[in-house]
Amino acid sequence: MTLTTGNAKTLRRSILAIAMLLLAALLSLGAIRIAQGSAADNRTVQVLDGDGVQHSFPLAENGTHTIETERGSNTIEIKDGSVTMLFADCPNGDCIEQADIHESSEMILCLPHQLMVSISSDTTDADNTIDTVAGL
Amino acid sequence: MPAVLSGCSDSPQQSEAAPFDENDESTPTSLVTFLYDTVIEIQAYCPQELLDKVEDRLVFFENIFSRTVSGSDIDMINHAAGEPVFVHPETIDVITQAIGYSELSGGLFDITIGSVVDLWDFKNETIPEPAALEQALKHVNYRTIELGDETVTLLDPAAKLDLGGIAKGYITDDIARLLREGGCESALINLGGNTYALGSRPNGNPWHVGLQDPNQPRGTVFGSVDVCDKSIIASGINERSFTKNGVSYHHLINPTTGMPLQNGVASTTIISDRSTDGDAFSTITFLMGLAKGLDVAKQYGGLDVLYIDTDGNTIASEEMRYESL
Repeated sequence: MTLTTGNAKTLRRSILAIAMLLLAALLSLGAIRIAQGSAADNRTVQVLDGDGVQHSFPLAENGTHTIETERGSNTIEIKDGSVTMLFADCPNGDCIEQADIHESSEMILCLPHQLMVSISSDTTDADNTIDTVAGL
Repeated sequence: MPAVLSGCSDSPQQSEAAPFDENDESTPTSLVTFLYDTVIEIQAYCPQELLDKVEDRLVFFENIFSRTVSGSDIDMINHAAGEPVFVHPETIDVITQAIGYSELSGGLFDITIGSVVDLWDFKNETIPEPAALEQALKHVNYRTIELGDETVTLLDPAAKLDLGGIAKGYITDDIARLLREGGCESALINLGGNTYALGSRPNGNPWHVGLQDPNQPRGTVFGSVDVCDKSIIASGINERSFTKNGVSYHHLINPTTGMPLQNGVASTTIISDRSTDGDAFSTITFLMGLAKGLDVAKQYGGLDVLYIDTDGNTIASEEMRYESL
């Protein structure tokens, strides 16, 4: 098949249009990624230890953290948006036998060490977020 | 069961003092401290100076109500060998109310249980010897408390007061009053799981309070209630408890045996206007069991009751509104 000058112009326009569409798609994808990035979980894990010192760790970063005071040692694990009391050298295991936390209303409480683990509140929390919990 | 409250427009006791900056809804002032052998958490939409006053008041109560603080009113009464002790008006008031709960519960609620409580150590998992319990039980009788205008006398010198079943509720009511008088219209008070929702959320919606599942580890919520100006208090087998040789022991002691009451109830939750009522009745309804507990609460009036048994079944009074999660 032989291309005439008119056909060649049409083809160039088509290629240009496709290229622009691809560029627009790429830009849109980038914008979505940026938007997703800005909506990332910026909450922090707050640990108030028995000496009254506040420790802060990003909830989005997996890892373990050990807090030592004269009252004892506690190790928390942050994993996939949840926080667990991995270890505590308290007398009867009360500090370990607690549910994981992943919301701002929840806390892990280690009374013998006067240590409290919580998650900072997120201003985007939905209206049905639990504000506090009755019963220990 | 759906919650029914959608707003708090009828919130009582609005203060005439200037409200907190309504434009700053997202940043409540907060107070976290360890007192009464538990954690205290208060978040309030009010100036920090008001929370400073609240903290002073909390310490004041620790210093007059705690059995383990040397020189507290309760410590002095317990070591007075039957002699009258001059105490603060708040101590007279809380003991007067405690005696009232003792009378309406036929002695199931009894703050002279201190000599029995002394024998239990839930931190170190100590179970009392039967002979020691038997001896201690002889000194549990609220009728041996003699109240004067400013004095308290334990007519049985071996009796010991323990305000564990009422103090946190009483203090919560006092703190709520203090916050209101300071102009606070929106706050959450949590004294070791004893909660009070003052007013509403800053946006006018009810507070959303979770309910601990007594059959699961601490922090496991099974439901929630939407409340304004209400106290929410639970007594359960999960608090101050341990398991030894396959047997679970918890802090809800039967005053006639000195042993934890095993009646199939895992927890009772009380929603009430007054936290003092909620604290006392969460214990009373637990110890009375389902049928009698619901009946007594209904007769008293103004109490919503939720029972959870050890199999996880829930039984609620007619007025109780909660939402399962």
